[in-house]
Order: sequence, then C-alpha cells, then structure tokens
Amino acid sequence: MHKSYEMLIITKNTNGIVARIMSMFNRRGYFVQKMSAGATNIPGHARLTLTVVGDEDTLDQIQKQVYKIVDVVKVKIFPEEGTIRRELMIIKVKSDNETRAQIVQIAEIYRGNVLDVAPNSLVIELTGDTTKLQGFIEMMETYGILEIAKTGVVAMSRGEKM
Amino acid sequence: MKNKKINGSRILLECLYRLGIREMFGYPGGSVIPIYDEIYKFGKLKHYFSRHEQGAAHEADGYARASGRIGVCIATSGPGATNTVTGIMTAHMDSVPLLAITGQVSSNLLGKDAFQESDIVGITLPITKNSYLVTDIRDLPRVIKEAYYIATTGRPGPVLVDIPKDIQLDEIDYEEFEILYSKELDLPGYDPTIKGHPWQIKKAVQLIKEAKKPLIIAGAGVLKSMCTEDLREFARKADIPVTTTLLGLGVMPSDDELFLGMLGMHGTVTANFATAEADLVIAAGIRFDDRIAGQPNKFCEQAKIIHVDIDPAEIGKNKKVEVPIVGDLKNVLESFNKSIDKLEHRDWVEQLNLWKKEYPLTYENGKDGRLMPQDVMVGLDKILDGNAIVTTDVGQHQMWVAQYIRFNNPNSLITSGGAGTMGFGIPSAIGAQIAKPHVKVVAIVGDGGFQMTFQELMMLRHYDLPLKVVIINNSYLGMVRQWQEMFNDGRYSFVDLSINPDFGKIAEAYDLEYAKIESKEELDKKLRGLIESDKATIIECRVEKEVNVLPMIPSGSSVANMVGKRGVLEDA
Repeated sequence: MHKSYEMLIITKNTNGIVARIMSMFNRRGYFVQKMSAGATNIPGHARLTLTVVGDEDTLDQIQKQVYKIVDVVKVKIFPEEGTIRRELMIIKVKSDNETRAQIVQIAEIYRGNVLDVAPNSLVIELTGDTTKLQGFIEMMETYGILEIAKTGVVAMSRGEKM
Repeated sequence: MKNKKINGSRILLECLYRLGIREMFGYPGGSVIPIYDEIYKFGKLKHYFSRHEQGAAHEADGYARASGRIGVCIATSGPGATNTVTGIMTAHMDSVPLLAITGQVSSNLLGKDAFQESDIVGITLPITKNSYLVTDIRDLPRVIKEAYYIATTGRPGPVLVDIPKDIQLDEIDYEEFEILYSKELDLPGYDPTIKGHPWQIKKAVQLIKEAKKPLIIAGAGVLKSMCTEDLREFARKADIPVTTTLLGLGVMPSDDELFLGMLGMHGTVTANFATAEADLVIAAGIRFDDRIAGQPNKFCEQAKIIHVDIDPAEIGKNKKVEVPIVGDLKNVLESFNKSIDKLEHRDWVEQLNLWKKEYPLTYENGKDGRLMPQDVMVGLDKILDGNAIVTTDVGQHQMWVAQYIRFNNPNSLITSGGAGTMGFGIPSAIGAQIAKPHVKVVAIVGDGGFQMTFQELMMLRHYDLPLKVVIINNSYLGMVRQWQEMFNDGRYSFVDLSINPDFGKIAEAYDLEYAKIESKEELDKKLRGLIESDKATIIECRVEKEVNVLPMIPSGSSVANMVGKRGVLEDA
C-alpha cells in the first residue's frame, strides 16, 4: 500500500551530497514529497528529513540505496507512533478592516504569530504537523491566500533513542 | 635548510604507487600536464598511452577483470573526462574496481565555463560508487586512499577523482604529506558486511539439506569474492548442479557434470528448465537482472531462494527471496562447506543430464560449406581449450561466445554484461593482455562494435601485444536485426552494414597481420595457425548473414515462452 513516510538521513556534509542523494532518487524513480535539510549537533554532518511515498518494499529498497551512498552515516524511517513531526509555514492572506480581526483570532486558535500587517494583507507564521497546517490553510482560503512558504517536515523520535 | 616539497601531482603518483598500483592507462591534455610531467619524472608507474579516453577506461576495466586488481585510467578535463563516461558506466554495471582520475580546470576558473571545463563529478554521479572533486592539496592523500579502498572493497565499483590543475601544482612539505598519508581513514557510513548472519546461514543450510532439486545460480559475485574453489567444493560436496550468468562463466569448469551452461535469455534449455523445476535455488552473487529473470514473479517459481550478496540493496530489489544472506560469498560458502557433509541428488542430476542430451546447443550447418558464426566459436573453442582469456563486444557474437566457448578458469571471459557496451572488446582485451602478458588473449567482436574503438589497435603495435582480434562479420548489427526479424516483422531499420570498411586495410594501416576466413573449409585450415601465432592479428570471419541466436526467451517473459530449443525457430 502506498503511504508517505518520514525518512531520516544523517550524512557527512560533503560537496554535493544532496545532489548525490537526489540523483539516486531520480534515477530509481523514487518520489520525494518534501525535504528539509540542515546542520546537526555533530560537526561536519547534515541531517535530512525526506517525506517519501511508496509501499513497504519500495521503502526498504530506498533505505538500502540511500545507505549505499558512501557518505551517508545513518538512515531510518520514523515509526508512525512516538515521533514528533513539525513543519513551519509562513502564509500571506488578504485582509481588510472587516476581516483582519477574524483572521488574527483564528491564527491565535492555531497558535500562529502575526509577523506583518499591511492595509490589505497579513503574514502569519505557523508551526505544526501537516494536518494542522492543512486545517489552517483551509480556514484561510475563504479570505484569499496570496502566498505560502513551507518547509518540509522535520522529525524526531520521542525519548532518548535517535 | 629548506624543507623538501612535494606537489599535488607527485602526491597522486606517490599514493598510487604505495597502494600497489604499477600500471595505468591514459591520455594527456591541458588540465593534466602537471600530472604527466610527474609521470615522466617519477618513472615507477608504467603509463600506457591509449588512443581515446573511452579506450583508456575500458583498458583499465579489462586490466582489472583479468587481474583482480584495480584498474586506473587518467584523462584531461572536459571532453577527455566525458569520453571516459561510457567506460565508467560499463565498470559500474559490472561492479569492476576502477579508479578514474580526471584533470579539472584551475579552482579559480571553476564554474566560469572555462575552456575544457565540465562538471564530471556531476555527470558521473549516478555511475560511480563514489566521486571526489579535490579542493585542497591537503585532502589529496586521504582522497586517493579512500578512493582506492572504496573501489576495491565490498561490492567493487568505479570511483572518480577530479583534480583541478592548481591542486596538481600546489606544494606542501614532504613531511606534512607523510603525516597526511599515515592518517587512518574515517568512513563511518561505509562498512561492508563480510560475515553472513549465523542464523540466516543456519536456515540456509537446513534448506539445502532438505532440498530434492537444488540449483546453484552463480554470478560475477563469485569472481569478485575470489571464491571459485569454495563454490566448486560446495557444488560437488552437496551434489548441486550449477548454472551461471554471463558474467559468472568460468566459475565452474564447462565440462563438469554438474555444469548446465549459462541461463537466461540465450541460456541453455537445461539451465532454464532447471530454474523452473528446482525446489531450492542458491543465488550466489547474482542480481536477478532482466536478462536472467525476464518475469521475476515467474522465475524459479517452485523454488525457495537463498540469495547471497555483499550488497544489501540487491536483496529483494528484483526478486523476493526466502533467505537473504548479506556477506562476502567466500565467507558464506566456507560456512556452508563446514556445515554440510556429503549430499546426493543423483535423480535430479540424471534428469538434467537427460535434458542436456535432448536439448544440446545446436545450429544448422551453413549451406554449401558457408561459414556459420557458431562454426567460428566451435573452432576457437577447440584451439583455446578453455584456457584463454576471451573478451567480447555486445550482441550476437557475445551470446555465441557464451554458448559455445568453454571457460574453465575464473576471469577468463571479459564481457560487458550489464552495460552491454559495443566497442568494449578490443580495449578490454588490451587491458587484459597487459595484465596477463603470458596468457593467450582473444577479442571476439562484431563488425559493428569493431568500428567503435578500433583506434586502440595502435597500442598493439606500440606495446607489442600479441592480441588476436576476431571479427564476426555478418554485415549486420546482428542482434538488432534478429529482434527486428522476430518482433518487427522483418523491418530491418538501419541494421544493414553491407557498406563496411575494408578490414584488411585497417589491419595494414595499423601494421597488424590480417587474414580473412570465408568458408568452413578455410576455418578448419587456417584458424589454428592464426590463433597460435604470436603476432598481433586481425582475423575477419565472413559469416552467414542472417543467423539467429537460439534458444531465446523473449524479453519480459519466462522459460515457458522459450523458442528455438532445438537450434531453429519453430514456425509460429
């Protein structure tokens, strides 16, 4: 069954490592929905969280193929339970004197922050899992969305284990 | 006193030398002049001067396959580097340890579309095991050591090192170089599994003991792991018949009772029947590619499968298996041999022997004494007697080599299996002859493939190599023609090579011996003398034009759809 999973990749931060990983995904026809990448607490290493789509066999193959890349140090799939997942979104919504207060109120319910107010628009920052962000986007559609910027998912296991 | 200095080019050569490399292939150019200057001065590395960078890569590949050591090739930036791409890809598909060193424009010009600049690391990302663009001379000793280690360990493969010209010229203190060179490698993400999991091995041994109709399918992994003897011991001890992939030929002596010949698209009837009939398959160093398992779900349908491979990503990639064992085949086979006493499967072997008798590889005789391509193979086989190194291009002649020439030793067939590279035969034979100067090396190529890399023939004269090049000239791109005949209602689209060069004149131009063989009678009369001679010779065999390679399991189907079991196409 096709599902989406979050995959953690820890890799040495060498020249072109992201290109190397992406080239493998393209070449083998694996589908990456979202990606976030950045430094980690280990110097010289990068942490990537990819949201990938596939069935279990494909997923198994993807993990092995990624691990085959020499600089990759760790690959794992986050289990559905026991994982914290977060995305960051900045969204620009149409607003006027009539709707501004309503939008701010909804943003507060979603624990969003208003970053910018202009006569005809509002910029709101929101963090959460994919469903929460989706819910907020749907709420904002009635007012008119001007722009959305989203990161990929970043994820971490609960408890001590990596 | 001033400290002794060493430049980047010398570091490269010094590292290669310390890693045991004595021979390399290459072609100079603007961005590798400093390296070539050091090759000139260093004197301890023998550099063979190819005539094209693709040739250099294939020569290094052939050298590696024949010797079991790493092959090294060197090319300049831009077109020099891109010319090696086909060679690197060929080595990648067949897991050959190859070190490709390319010059790059100076660091300050990188990204400026400078003269002869190309992003060769980017271009070769999908076809290398790893690659490096060196940006600091202080990285160079580590990079060369790493490249060598990665190329030759685990599942071998090509590694590319791209060195900008200024890094080649840059200098550090000799003492610093020694310190840098002596540092341990730090590769936390690279640790090939050597030892098979004991629990999986136990499960496998249990299945082997219970099996009534076991079958070993051996592939190139056996050669890479250098465990031919262990595999033979295992097969004989456990009385298990063996079939091999194209790249596995030589693992089992061809005359052995337990050997069934090659399997797959153009494999023997017996080998393919065996896969359908077996109740247990021990897949040793193979990857179930589409020329073996055209329809993976129908392949070895009745069998449980034990799959041994050093690359975990091969497990379950093309075919689901019952018992996966990740590890070095030598290690795993030693465990099998320790845990298994004598087994017997005489009924099964007898059944296979009956098939062998009923469906031998066979072909129609040429009309009016005309020469059949298979005649050439049979003739060569008699002369070579399983003890030569044979290289090929890709296509019909390659399959006939696999079918009709016996290979009794590992690494004696050098052919582009996964990549299917035309033009591989001649340069790889040159590499093999250099690696094994005292072995008879024969390149068997088609009239099409010959024309792709024959510039390399100049090396035969240059280095006095007694190579034999046999051209199977049917004036067609034979394999494509065969497919067009069988699957495109005979619409021969751009496969006709009746306008060919005069191969005799090419031989003359390259100062080589030449002979043409046009009939069965001539073959019987001339071939032995030509092959046994110690002169570099081109032997052109004008063979019957429209001959098909049979038997054949059409692409994407299973053994049930095999045609031409008796050497002729049945009427549909």
